[in-house]
Amino acid sequence: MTRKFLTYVLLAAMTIAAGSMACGQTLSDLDNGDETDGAT
Amino acid sequence: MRGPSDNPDEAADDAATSGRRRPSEAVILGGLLGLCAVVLLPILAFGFVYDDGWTITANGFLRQPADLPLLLSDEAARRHVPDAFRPTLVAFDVLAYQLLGLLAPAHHALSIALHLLVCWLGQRWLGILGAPLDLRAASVALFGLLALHAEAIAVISFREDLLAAALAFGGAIAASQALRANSARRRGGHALAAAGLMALAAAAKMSAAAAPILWWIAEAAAPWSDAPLPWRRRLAAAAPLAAGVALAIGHTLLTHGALSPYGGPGNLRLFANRVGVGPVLAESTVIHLGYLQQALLPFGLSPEYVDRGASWGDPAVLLASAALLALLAYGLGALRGRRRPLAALAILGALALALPTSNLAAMPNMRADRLMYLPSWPLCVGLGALLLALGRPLARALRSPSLAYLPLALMAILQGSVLQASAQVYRSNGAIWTVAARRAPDSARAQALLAEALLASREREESEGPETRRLVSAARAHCRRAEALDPLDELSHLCFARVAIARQEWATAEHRLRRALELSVDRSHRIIAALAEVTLDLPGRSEAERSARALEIIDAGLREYPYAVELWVAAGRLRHRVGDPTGADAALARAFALAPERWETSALTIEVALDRGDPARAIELLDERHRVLDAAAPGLRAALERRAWDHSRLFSPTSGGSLLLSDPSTGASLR
Repeated sequence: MTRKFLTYVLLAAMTIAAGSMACGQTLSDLDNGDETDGAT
Repeated sequence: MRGPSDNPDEAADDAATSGRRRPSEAVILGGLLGLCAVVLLPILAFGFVYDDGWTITANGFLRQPADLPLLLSDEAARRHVPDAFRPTLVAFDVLAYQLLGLLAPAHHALSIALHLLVCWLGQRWLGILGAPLDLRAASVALFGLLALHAEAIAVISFREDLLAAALAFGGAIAASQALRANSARRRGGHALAAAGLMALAAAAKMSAAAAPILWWIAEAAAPWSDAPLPWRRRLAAAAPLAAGVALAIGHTLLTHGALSPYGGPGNLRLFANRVGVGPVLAESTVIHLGYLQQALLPFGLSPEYVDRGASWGDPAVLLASAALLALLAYGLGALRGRRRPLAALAILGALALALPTSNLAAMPNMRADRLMYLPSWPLCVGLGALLLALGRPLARALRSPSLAYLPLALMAILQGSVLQASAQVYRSNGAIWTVAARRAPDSARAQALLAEALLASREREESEGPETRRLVSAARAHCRRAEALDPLDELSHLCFARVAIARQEWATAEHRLRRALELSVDRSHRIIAALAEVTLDLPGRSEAERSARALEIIDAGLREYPYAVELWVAAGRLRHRVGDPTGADAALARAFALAPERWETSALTIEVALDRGDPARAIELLDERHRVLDAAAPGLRAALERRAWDHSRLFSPTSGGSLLLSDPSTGASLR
């Protein structure tokens, strides 16, 4: 029964990962931000 | 004890649904907590975003643990220590920084661990109240995977909500244990723990101050007992929780001189100060109905919402008010005579926990997903019970015990999927403000901060390229939109100032920065730093006048914000530019002490050493701080190394490092 339960948990994790990819959206990245606005 | 297994019908259901042998409690809870952890794993790749700059990365106070006692007086607030009114949180942040440094994945792991701890403590308290394992496990699965929690978990600095919830549950557990303790000694120990934990919880975030009300509702409703314990005993057990809250409120009063740390009527960030409390409260009814929808059906989540007022006559407000009043009435009716104790706990508990952030007391954000972190817990308990109840007939009809958990599993999968997807928004500031401007286009803050993110994304090496011009133009358009939306928001003016700085329009930048400073009531250090630097570049003034004014501004800023790293770096840069290398070194040394991870400080210190004609010191620094400089742009680092090498080649050690005493063409000493 424990093995069955853990299999269900694993299945849920995989379904969530698939669901998350379906919900996700592509964003234009602005990730090369600097830590300051000043100049050295 | 009154519980599902004591009711003949439900006992039959349990037998049908749970089977003869089911996994142990440790396996069930461990498996579900593991599931929550796995779903949240992608967060480990995120960086420091949002308020993390103010409260963690550029917060020099975290690097000065000896100054922690300042939190117990008004001195911390006077020195603008970030979140000085949340001493538990600041102490926790100091400890976390001392242990983890600025390793973002480690801080995210800490947030995830805190969230799992809250899940575990919540079910532990339910266990003390007598809840069956099924429901406790359902509360873990739903609360652990609730999509509405994405913001609170994914943004490091919002661990304040997680920390406060963990401590509040700790207090509730201790109070419930005190209520059930057999000996006076144990009762006293638990009561003391309850008071201490509750004080710490409210001092981590004041919204946890409503937790004693939740405790009272749970103990009075006693959903899993035949009868609640006598009210006198309950009162005695609740008193330490109330005392803990009173202690935290007393601290806020002592250190801020008022119940609210957000200042008086002059603070325009509080929307109630603009339109009055009535319209804000009217809109708040719609907001809270929205929270309920988001908790049950996770759509419409956003990193930003627009503050707005509403009229009590608006149809949406009327409907929302009616719905909330109906819920309140139903909850009170359910509590009366303990007719539906679990429904009473879920509804009244959530309403009570939402009270501190319901805009009755003005707040800088009228609405934010993170505000619902703790209030969503009673909802998860109620929803868990409902989904389990829905599953039982299904299992019975189809003669498959496992199907009893199908509705719960489907809801958990839905919430978990949206949680994982929603958390992605918080991976970087660029992502946050892009999404914020898309979902809340009428937010001046979202427009202004998106502009800042655009400007920050420019490549340093290409300050004049077409891509830079495109980014500056796009940023300017967002600034215009921000100003049109809210001319009284200092961020709108700061936005224009940043664009003006990018275009080297110093007079415009100064004008905008001064206006931003006028409107700003707190966190003005970035404006002051920029204003001081811009003042040094103002046209039409003598150099002496510009230098004196710039230094005056930065020195005043440093007195006001002694832990703000940005100001110390700006002071170092200014002193360097006005020809004060000793002053520059002192300011940069302080900046390095307050934030040693910041590459800009080290790069500037090396530059100062080189300009002073001390290549040996520059090379020493390049070697000492090579790990910090790894984060700098490769071009900048290469330029510094090249300069240091050229200096050491051109100026011999015997020259004393002085340009006047060396032959620049040969490097030979003239002495």
